[in-house]
Amino acid sequence: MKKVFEIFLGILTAFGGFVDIGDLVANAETGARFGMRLAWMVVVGVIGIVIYAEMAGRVATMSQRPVFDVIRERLGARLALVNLGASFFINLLTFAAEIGGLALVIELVTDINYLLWVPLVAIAVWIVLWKVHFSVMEKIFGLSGLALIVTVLALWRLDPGLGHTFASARQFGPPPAESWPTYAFFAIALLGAAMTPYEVFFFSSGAVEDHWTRKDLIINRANVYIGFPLGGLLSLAIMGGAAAMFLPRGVSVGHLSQLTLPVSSTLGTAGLVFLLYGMFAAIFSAALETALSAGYTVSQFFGWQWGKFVRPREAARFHVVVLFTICAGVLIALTTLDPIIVTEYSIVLSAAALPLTYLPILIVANDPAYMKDKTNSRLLNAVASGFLLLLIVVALATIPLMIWTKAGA
Amino acid sequence: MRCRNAVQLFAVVAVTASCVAPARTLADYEAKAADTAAAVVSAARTVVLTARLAAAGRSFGATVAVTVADAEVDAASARDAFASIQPPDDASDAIRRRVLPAVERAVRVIELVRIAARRDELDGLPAIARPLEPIASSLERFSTRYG
Repeated sequence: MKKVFEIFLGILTAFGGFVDIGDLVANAETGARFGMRLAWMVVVGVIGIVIYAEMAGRVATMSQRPVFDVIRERLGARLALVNLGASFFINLLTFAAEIGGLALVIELVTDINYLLWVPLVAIAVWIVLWKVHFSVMEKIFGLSGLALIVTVLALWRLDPGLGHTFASARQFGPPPAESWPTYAFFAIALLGAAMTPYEVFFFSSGAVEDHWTRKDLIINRANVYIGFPLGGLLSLAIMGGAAAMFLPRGVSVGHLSQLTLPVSSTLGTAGLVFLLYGMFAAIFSAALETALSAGYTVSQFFGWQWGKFVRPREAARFHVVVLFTICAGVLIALTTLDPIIVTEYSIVLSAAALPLTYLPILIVANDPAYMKDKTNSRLLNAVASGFLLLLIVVALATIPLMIWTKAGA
Repeated sequence: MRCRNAVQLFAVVAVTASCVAPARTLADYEAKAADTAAAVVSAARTVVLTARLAAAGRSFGATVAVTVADAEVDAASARDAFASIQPPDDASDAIRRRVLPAVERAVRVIELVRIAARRDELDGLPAIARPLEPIASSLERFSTRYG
């Protein structure tokens, strides 16, 4: 019974913790401009993250070593350093976006400029990272993110309704007012938002933090196979809400404040309270994950003691990297760069770096020296290799498309 | 050195992707006018929606104020960017005369809505925002024609 409860809790945590500022922004923007014509890319992205997060969790569980540690061993220090540089930079940008997003949510409640909240939310993130136990932190914020279910309720009650909105997802290609390159650029942004590299670093390191053993592989699978797709439904609901409310009116989404309109128009202030709480929790959870991921990747590359499962004094360098990331993220956010623009760039650049993260995982997941009898099946390898090819094409196309479309303008 | 090159390349890419190019022909100018009109339509209709929700008690004063202020920033940025583009010929002057006054009217109305929202006069917002719908409709027609 305890195991079942643990699995159920894990699923809910993965469900509520799936969405972050990148998902909120990318799905709402895309819904407003393309309707549900890019919903298929959310599904593709969810399948991709499901496949590779499960692999990363299995690698960490079987080898009792997190993914980045194994990446360095398999790729060699020099190539892994390139990977580290790219991952750290994108992670930092993502953290800055999350901090900015948190400040914007508080601004929506207080009408006090978000820049004043940036240092305060950063301090709150640091205190939680320093004081709160890993599994408590993971579950509280993950479960709180479930409040975002109001986006599904809102979509259900919005004209033209849930069924009609999802039926429109069968249309493929850009609407008449948009071009194919812009359509492709937004598809890449959605993929980058769904498959952000920090998710696998956090997931695999979390497996070590939670002391997963072979017996916990079922929790890994349940979290990933059930929790992530349910989280993907939230992404689709956000896209659907924007498609139903903004597309017919010619409104484009460029601010977090606009995300409140579909919910407040259908569910009123009660729905709005849930939405704001859910957004805050989901983004806070992602801020914790990105800050920790920065510490994880650097410490694991250099072979330092890392993690929250040991006392801070024993993992001092890990905590210094986390603190440095928080300070650097605050400085980026305080430049007054629009957090939504930072988010857009972070998810698109994530897409460009995806193969660097996922190729080593695929290699290691097939190595019996690490995985014993839990290497990938042939079917999984076929699907994962297909995905990797897609990620390589996406990585090559991202920067040219960014220039061609003026970042989707 | 390699790292510096990478940083320089990234800076060039970021700037190239976000800068506003000048309009050298009438067609360029029309396209920029259409983009400006579309941006202002988006901001205006966001404000109209927000004003209705505020008056119906379906949103909070602070949320309404921030949403309207964000829309104001969008509309004002679009206006400033368009106003700074040099019209390349007489036909472009005509386009400018057609678009810019409507855009400026929209920005002024959004300003008034923002002021009222910050004073928590939420019931009166739809009346203040009323001129935005016809402005948005006319700008939308322009944007559809030239976009």
